Amino acid sequence: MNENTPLPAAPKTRQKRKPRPDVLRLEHVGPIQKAEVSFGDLTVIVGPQATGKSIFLQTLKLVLDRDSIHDTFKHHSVAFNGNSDAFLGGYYGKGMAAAWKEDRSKLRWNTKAFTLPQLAKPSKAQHQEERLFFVPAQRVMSLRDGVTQNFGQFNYGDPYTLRYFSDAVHDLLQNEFGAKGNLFPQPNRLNDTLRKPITEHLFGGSTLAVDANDFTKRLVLKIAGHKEGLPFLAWSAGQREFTPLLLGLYWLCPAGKLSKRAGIDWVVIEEPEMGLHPQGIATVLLVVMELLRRGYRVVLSTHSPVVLDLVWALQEFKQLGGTESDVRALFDLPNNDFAKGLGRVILQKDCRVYFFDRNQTVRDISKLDPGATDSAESEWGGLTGFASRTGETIADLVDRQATRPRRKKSTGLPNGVGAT
Amino acid sequence: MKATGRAADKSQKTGQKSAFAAAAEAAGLLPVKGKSAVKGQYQTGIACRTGWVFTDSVDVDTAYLAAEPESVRWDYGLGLEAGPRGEMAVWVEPHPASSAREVAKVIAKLDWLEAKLALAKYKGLRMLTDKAAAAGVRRFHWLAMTGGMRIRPGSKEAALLSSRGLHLPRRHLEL
Repeated sequence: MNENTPLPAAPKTRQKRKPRPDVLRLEHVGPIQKAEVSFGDLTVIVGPQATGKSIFLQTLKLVLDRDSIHDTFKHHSVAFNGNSDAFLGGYYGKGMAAAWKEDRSKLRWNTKAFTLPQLAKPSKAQHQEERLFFVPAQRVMSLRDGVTQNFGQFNYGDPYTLRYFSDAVHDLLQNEFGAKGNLFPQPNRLNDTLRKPITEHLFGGSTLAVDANDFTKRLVLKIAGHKEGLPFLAWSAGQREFTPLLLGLYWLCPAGKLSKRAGIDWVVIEEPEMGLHPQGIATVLLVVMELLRRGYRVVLSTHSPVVLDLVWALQEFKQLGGTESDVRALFDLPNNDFAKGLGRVILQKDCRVYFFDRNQTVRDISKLDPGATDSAESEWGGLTGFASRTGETIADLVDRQATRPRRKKSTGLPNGVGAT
Repeated sequence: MKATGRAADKSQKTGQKSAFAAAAEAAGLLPVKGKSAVKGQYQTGIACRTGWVFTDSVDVDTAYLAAEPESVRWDYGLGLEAGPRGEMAVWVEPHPASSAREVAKVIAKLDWLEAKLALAKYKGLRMLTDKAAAAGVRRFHWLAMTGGMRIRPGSKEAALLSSRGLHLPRRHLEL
């Protein structure tokens, strides 16, 4: 798609009373003591390993897509025969049924209380339409040796979110892209404004293609001077991590005039930064912004301060009266209609950040104020904690060296600039 | 002006100047008791830990206003009686942290202050400042009580501050 090709329009929203945000509450589920997350258009969750972020996100999927999940298992001939422990092990991962304590655990979606054993059985409503697309942290497993995997190629106990994601990617490659040689760049997928940074920062100018030799559709990277294409294991870690994410984005951004995949309102992406340089992460965030522009509600989990840099910037832009040009400046985007539209839409989005700390109640740190008294907020849920400590330690050392001859440093500022 | 704390009480009773006051006068500055040299709006943002007291303070910015109107001047110096560690000098700059660009301005002020501390007449203040460093007490402080706080830990501006012995701006200082 070039600059002049019409784009799927962002859905028009009427000015009406703001709906009450969706809220998921979990208490005493696995390592989560108490979590109450009120979702925005973009919700980011941060926290150290094993604090329940993934369980929380998988539970969000289970609450929204309960019947669709049961139907998928049934479709693939996985029967739990009413055994809720077996279902929970099949959904979250083997042994995860123990995360729910009958006497202590609580789960509430908006005003409605559930139990995990309840959700382990289909509802009476049999609402089978899927609403949430989940891009799991283990997404690289969906491309073993560059070959996509279907649902049945995984084992009982492998997380459902991985199996289902892998299956969606497999279906996309086998059917929608079946006859096409090149997967990226694709002229009818994603705007040129998005394709350029992906080409530059993630694929380094190479082309993602399907090699159908040996009767197997295998993904390869085509680079100049390499006749057969670079095999999956020869790619960089970031390319291996990003490619399944790209295929997931293709699934969410259909070709043609459709702006969204029918029925899907929510997208969860676990650790979008995996294996990527900050320039690559910024590019992925650009695509996340495109998902928001298309009307998806996006939930990210992350260990990267770059992701929170975006949220912080957007919060500050809104507070300081920033415009779409500031968003373009942040991402170094060209002055074209697509980029302007993207910038305008993103500034209207509600962004929230939650901190999952070990053995503590989950906290709302959405303001990300570096001057906040609570270090959870000022250090962005620990993501800038080490950087802060590094700065403090160096400053201490500089002070200790004070009795030695002083180093002369200049700021380059002319005298008189910035006087109080 | 009313003295604050034990050391100030002692100096009033004995009529002795604090080491900070004596050093400030030697530098040609006008010391005032406690933290009174600091503008009222900033005083609540500057405290010292239990058992420590502010002896005297100086408004360096105003002192050099006429002589160096175009200079990027540091604001305040404070004498700090730190219990058994004795008296030392610390320096506070109330300055907005509303953008990362403020970092260069504060560092320019620090350059100015360090140039002053290198002068012969500042020897006493320099020694009291070095004493703070030797005692593990940070010498230079950036106070940003109100307004936006937009200097991100981990940024190059934060690293620049660290390299000059300054921490990130704080809403409140406890020296």
